[in-house]
Amino acid sequence: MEKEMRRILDETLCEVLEKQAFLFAEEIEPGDVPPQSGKMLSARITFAGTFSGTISLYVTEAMCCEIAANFLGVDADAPGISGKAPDALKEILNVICGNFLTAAAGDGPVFDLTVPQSTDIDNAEWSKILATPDIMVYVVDEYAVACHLEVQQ
Amino acid sequence: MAYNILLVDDSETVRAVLMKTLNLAQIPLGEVFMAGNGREALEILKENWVDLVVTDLNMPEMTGFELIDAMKNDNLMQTIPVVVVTTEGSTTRIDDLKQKGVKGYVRKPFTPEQIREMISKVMEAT
Repeated sequence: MEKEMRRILDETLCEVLEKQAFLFAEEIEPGDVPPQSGKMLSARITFAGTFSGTISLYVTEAMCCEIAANFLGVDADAPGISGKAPDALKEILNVICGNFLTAAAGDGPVFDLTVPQSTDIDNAEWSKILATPDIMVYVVDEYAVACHLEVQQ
Repeated sequence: MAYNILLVDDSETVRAVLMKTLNLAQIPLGEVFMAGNGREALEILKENWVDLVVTDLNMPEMTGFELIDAMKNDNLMQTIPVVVVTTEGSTTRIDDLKQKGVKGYVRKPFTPEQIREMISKVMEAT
């Protein structure tokens, strides 16, 4: 069941990144993650309904700027874009979660979602995240993206 | 006639994208107001003439559902058309919103064309 849900989340994440941010994600093994530099961010959203759980996303701030810039149709180094990085990450996670739930449970059931929260993470936490069982890891251009799904029935 | 539009979303990025879409959409625009949640939206609605509300649902402090309910219970606000732009995919919830008078629904991720078409359709019908 959880394996199937991770497959659905994988498809949803790739589709949302492509449609909303024009970014193409390729799944890789956690051991193949290219070294990441700069500030890293995480975002978390919780859902409750037919089944409940949490989705967490972990990315570099630079990639969040890319998401915000592509979303807005401006350059990633445009003025003010770095300030929008956490907001862009939370929004993309919100969209991934909403679309994942419909893909996993159909369009009948009702789920309540929390408002996504974001925090900074350091290199030690990033290493720990990559070692988490069932972590899903992607490469998008030169950036690494990690995603974790936790489901309670 | 120029329309005053209220954009309600807790994401500053989404509000900026919606604003950009409105500017490119050749919809005659008057004033465009922005709110980060339902409570801020109600304050704007109490003080200003608004022709259309475009709102998200999942927001802190006061959700889009609560905003729509509050508008429905107000004699003046209940006449303002509402378009919902959300990640919500449950037909149960969408049908409920339609029952409450919501005029349009666009699912995220959206394209600027979807927003433009929905707003034009709703404004033409009013």
